[in-house]
Formats: sequence, structure tokens, C-alpha cells
Amino acid sequence: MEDQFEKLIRSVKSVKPVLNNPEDLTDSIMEQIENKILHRNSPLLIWARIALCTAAVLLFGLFFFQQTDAPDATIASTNPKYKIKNKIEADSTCMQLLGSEHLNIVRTYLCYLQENSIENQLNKSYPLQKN
Amino acid sequence: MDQNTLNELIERSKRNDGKAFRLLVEENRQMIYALAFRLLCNEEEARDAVQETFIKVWMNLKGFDTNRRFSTWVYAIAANLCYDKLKTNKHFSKCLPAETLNEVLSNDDVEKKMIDTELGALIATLTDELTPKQKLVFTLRDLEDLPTEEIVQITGMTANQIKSNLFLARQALRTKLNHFQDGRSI
Repeated sequence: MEDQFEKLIRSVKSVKPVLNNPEDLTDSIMEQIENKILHRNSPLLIWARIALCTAAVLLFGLFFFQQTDAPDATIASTNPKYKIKNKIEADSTCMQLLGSEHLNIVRTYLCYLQENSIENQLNKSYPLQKN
Repeated sequence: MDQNTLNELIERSKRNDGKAFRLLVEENRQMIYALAFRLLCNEEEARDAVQETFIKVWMNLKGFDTNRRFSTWVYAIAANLCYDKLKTNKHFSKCLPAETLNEVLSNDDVEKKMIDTELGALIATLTDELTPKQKLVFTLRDLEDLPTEEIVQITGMTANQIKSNLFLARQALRTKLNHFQDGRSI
């Protein structure tokens, strides 16, 4: 039996599988590889992808920030940041003139600064008037 | 192909030279096909495996250490790819006609007459009960005639694991052959 087993292995070993149409296979491999070379050689595309992804994330973040920046009543009562904002809104005549509840904090703040500068000018002029 | 030419082709291929890589493919395709065919026992699957192997080689060529033997590295990629295929797919197990095996065992000249389809069926019939690991080790050691050290490098198994898998594979094949000799079909 040992001989039969060895003989079988020898027979199987001696028959080398032959690749039919090797050139077709090579062409097919090279075709796929050429596509990969094109992909590999496009750093511009890679940078464009990165830039677009970053822009998308930033825009989404900005949108999210603006949406959450309009506080609800509970947040406004506990968060100091929103307390200041509410104070600004309440105090600002500028806000009443603009008449919008959904103005963003930057515009509100600019308004507040403008009011302050008017007040400062008045304060400066007050001692002069007194004199 | 001498070592210097081979190294030059590898370096050029690393720099995206398709022509150099084509020469590497032409040099190694038959060797990889033989291994893939013996493991997968099917011409189409073996061709696909050769294709996938060279694409993987191309993708990972920049990380290839030129101190290693290129053929061993390519062999390792092909062997692991076929091993994964063996693990995931249930391969065909074409029933080998009894006459073919009789012919193999009785005729000394049979190797010259056997065609790929019969060879595939013969290997599939003999090895379909082996585990993928046993089949891989048996193919590399007994059919491809590789030394144990090289099989260690290719498979990542230890020498002891290789020995035990080879022992079990040979034992299973002998048992199968015994059954056939006793008149049962294999």
C-alpha cells in the first residue's frame, strides 16, 4: 500500500497543470493594474475629496451651531451664555426695531455694541454738559 | 531570470512601470497557476486566483523587502488567497471515474496522458475530506515539493503545526486509498 500511495503522489506531482491562454490572463491582469495606476496617480482627486469632505463637515457644523444657538426656555434660564444674550435682546431697542426673534447672536451682538457706543458718547458728553 | 534583472524589474514596478510588472507576471504566472490549480482543482477558479494574486502583488509591491525571495513572497500571497477561498467556498468534488485512478496506479506512463480536468478531479477526489490547512500543507510539501522552512514562511505556521497537518493529511489519503483498494468507491 505504501508503494501505491507513493506512486499516486508521484503521478499527481509529475503532471504540471498547464495555463491555457496565458497572454489573455496577463492582458487581463495588466488592464486591471493600469486602472489602479490611474487611481494611484491622481493626488488632485484625493485632495479634492479631502477638501470637499472638510467643507461639508464645516458647513454641517455651522448649520448645527446656528440651529442650536436659538435656545429654549430651560437652557436660557440656566446657561450664562444665553442669559447674556437674553439680556441683550431685552435691553436692545435695536432688536425691537429689527423685530425678528430668530436673529443670530453675531447680529445681536453687533447691535448691542452699536447701542453701547451711542451710550458711551452720551456719557462722555454728559460731564461737559454738566460743566 | 537572474537576481539583478529581477531586482531591477521590482524597482521599476515600484515606480509604476507597467511593462516591468508585466515581465514579472510572465515569469511567475505558470508557477502560481500550478499552485492555485492544485489547491482549488478548478481551472476557472485557479485563473481568478492568479489574477487576484498579481493584483495584490502590485498593490503591496512598495512594501516588499528586496532581501526576501520574490517568488516566495508571491507564493505566500497566492497560497493565502487560495486558503481563504478553500475556507469560504465549498469546492466542487467531481467524482473521479474508477478507471482513471486504476490507470494512474497501474500505468507508469499515465502522467503524460492526463489532462488538467482529470488531474483536477483526481486531486479533488483525493483531498476533498482534508481541512483547508491540511490541504494547503499537503499541496505545498508533497505536490509542490517545498522545504518545510519555506512552508513556514508562506503559511506562517510553525514547523510542528506543519508536521502534524502533513501527518494527518497523509493518513487521510492512505485511508481513502485503502477503501478504494477494498473495492469501495472513493
